[in-house]
Amino acid sequence: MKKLFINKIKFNVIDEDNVTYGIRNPLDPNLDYLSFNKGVNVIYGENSIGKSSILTGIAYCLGGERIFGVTSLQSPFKPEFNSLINNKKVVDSSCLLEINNGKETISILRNIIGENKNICLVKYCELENFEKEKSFKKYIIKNKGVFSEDGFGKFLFDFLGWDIVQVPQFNEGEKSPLYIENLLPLFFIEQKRGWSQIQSTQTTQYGIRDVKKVSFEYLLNLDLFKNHMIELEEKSHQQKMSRLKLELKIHQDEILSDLNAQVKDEEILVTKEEYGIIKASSLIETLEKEYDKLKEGFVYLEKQKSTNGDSNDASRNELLEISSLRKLQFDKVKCLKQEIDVYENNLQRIIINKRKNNQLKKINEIVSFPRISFCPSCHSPLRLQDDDCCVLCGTKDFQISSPEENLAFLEDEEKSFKLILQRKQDKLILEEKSLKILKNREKSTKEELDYRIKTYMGKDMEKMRQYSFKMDHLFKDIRRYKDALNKWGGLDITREAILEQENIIGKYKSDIKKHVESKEDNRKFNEFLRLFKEDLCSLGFLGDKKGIINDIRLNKDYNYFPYVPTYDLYNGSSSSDNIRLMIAYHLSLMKLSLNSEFKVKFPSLLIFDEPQQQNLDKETVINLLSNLSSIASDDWQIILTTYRTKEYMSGTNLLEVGDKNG
Amino acid sequence: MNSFNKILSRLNKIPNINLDRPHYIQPEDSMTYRASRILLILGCLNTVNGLSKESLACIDFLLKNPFYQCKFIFEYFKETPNLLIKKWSEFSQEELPEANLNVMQYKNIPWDLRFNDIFMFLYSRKLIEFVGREKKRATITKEGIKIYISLSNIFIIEKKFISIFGKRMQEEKLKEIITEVIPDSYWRRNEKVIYQ
Repeated sequence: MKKLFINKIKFNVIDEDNVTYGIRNPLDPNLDYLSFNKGVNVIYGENSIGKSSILTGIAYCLGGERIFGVTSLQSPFKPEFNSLINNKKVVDSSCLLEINNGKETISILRNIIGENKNICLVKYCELENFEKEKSFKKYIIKNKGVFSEDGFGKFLFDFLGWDIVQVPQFNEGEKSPLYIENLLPLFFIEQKRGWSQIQSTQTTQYGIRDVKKVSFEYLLNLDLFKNHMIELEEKSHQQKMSRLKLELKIHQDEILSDLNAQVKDEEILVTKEEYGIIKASSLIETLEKEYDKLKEGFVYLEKQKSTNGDSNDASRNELLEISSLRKLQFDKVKCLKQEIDVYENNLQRIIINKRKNNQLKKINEIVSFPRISFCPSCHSPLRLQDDDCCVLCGTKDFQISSPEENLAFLEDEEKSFKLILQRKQDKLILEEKSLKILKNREKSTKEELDYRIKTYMGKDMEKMRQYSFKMDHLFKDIRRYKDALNKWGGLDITREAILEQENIIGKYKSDIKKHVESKEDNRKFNEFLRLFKEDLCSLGFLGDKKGIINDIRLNKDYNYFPYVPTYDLYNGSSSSDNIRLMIAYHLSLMKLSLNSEFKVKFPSLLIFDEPQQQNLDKETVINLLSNLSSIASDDWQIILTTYRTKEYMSGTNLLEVGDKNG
Repeated sequence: MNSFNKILSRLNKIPNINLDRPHYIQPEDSMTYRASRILLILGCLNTVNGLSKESLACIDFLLKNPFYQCKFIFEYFKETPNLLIKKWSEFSQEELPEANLNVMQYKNIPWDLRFNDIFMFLYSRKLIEFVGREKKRATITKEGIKIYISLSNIFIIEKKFISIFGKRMQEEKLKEIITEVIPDSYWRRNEKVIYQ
């Protein structure tokens, strides 16, 4: 497995007066960088002198500044590095780090201020030759694209021989790569928050599920990691399934309450007033039958209506025709009657005239009017003249009909008139008969039409209206039930999805079962626990209660934090014991990584920032150093910052940070 | 006409009936008939003081048009119902009266211009004479009465109608009924409607 060693670090801060600030090597004042060796490196000096800034620079150049709890817009550095230094504005600031993976050495340059701080420059050279080395590569070190082809994450992981893994996020179905920020807390203990708990600087920003567990498992290269991945996947699917189930329940409840229904043996049973409890499908069938029946009746009525309408029109036309015929006939009869009246009058006149003629005839026979012998005016005697003209009126050859002639004429006329009258009367009888027929026809047609109109407008129409109302009601009901059933059917997709999820979960569960008993993992755990307990003892953890140490266990359920079932390790001991526990934990991890047979990815590097500020006593530090000196291998590195003096730190690479500006 | 007959005889088409028809004059246009009826009226009514020409015209109108007789009796006797019932029972129409169609209408008195000729006819034969201060009332003469007696057997229906009124007719009432009541009842109302 590849290692990670921090070789050198250099800062380059330039103020507005073009004054350059940086690090002065305590061993060689001519050098402007700090060198770290394998083994223990102690950076010491007074408080606020820049010790932590050096460690910050390491994390910064590795792209892991988020462990300091800063956002993407904030800087993890003190203001001297990015805004003001000695009351002068910083115009340029960068950090150069040289690292080694056991085989290759690279130098990473990253700006602290400026637009390009999201990009770093990597050269395969030592720090001193960075300027000289021409070939370089630019990588994205921050934000999106860290794991792209041009991403520093990808480069660094490759450089360290780590796999890039996608781990499940809290967001259902989404995955995120495991970033360097997630791994750094296991070997970089930051001063402010880092000592409070194991992996306390772990970032939750990427929304990775069980990020502490995942990071631990990843760095220890546990088989459980894969298992855990499956577990997380399963969890995600479980969540998805429960969401789907909830969704399904809501929708089903909605449909059932809408239909006033319940489910029994996967059948929807609807409670309906007229039908009691009935299957929804049967109800629809019944309603449809009812609807069809009503429709049939409606169509029949409608047909009858149109037939009636047509025959009504025909009747109306017929009535009009008959009426006009009757009027004509009536006029005809009227004329005939008038004609008959005239003839009858004439006959009457003839009779009267006959009587009068008879009277005249008798007058002529019986009464002899005396002849006039004188003119009534002049009383002169009257004489007949030769020309036979009337003396009084002068009429000549004037033949006036005699009563006999008159009677003959009148008899003849009477006879003719009587004949004509008889004919006319006969005709009148016939015409009156036909008028009567027409009147009757007119009456019956009118009555029929009236009846039809009355019937259509009355009962039939009412019936049709009722049918239509019922049909509308039924249609709405059918549509409602069908819609609901369709919706119910539509939920099959969700049901299938749930089944699918169940299958997937089942598969995952069986996979988890297979992985649960991994011998390799058990060996690693046992070794880690052994080392951990040993280190705890060597660091003087719990003083006189050392017996508890034997009960310490490590379990994934506790994020791989050491615990004792009957004792609160974290709150039941002193704060310095917490620090001892932290140191022992990380130390054991590093020691485990040194054992090549376990093939862990842990980089054999530990960076502790000011453990002594956390009430760690001198004795523990001495114990730590003696513990470290007992490690057989040289292939590890610890960088430690402390404000204490170097008196008891013999045998370490002591790097004194003195002058703040230095 | 002779040439026409000649043609017809040549063609052997001479008609066997008399084609020369007389002027058919009915009794109402006959002077003899009309004069006889006037004489009948004068023989029956108001023989002492005679009748005015208007009254004669009115009574002649009633005899000529039996259609109005019924109405006249009713109007004449309506003030004395008992008498009316009695007279009504005496009155009967054997012939059907002519329809309105042919009944003459008048505006004032149903005066016929021929009345003058009729009076002339009777007067010239000394059958009537005009009496009174202005000699305007006609009465029957003794000669007239002789003829009247003969006429009584001829004008039976007419005489029967006249006899309803007895020997004397109230001329004023007669004139009022004929000139006012009957026109009002039958045609004046229509005239009003038409001319208004």
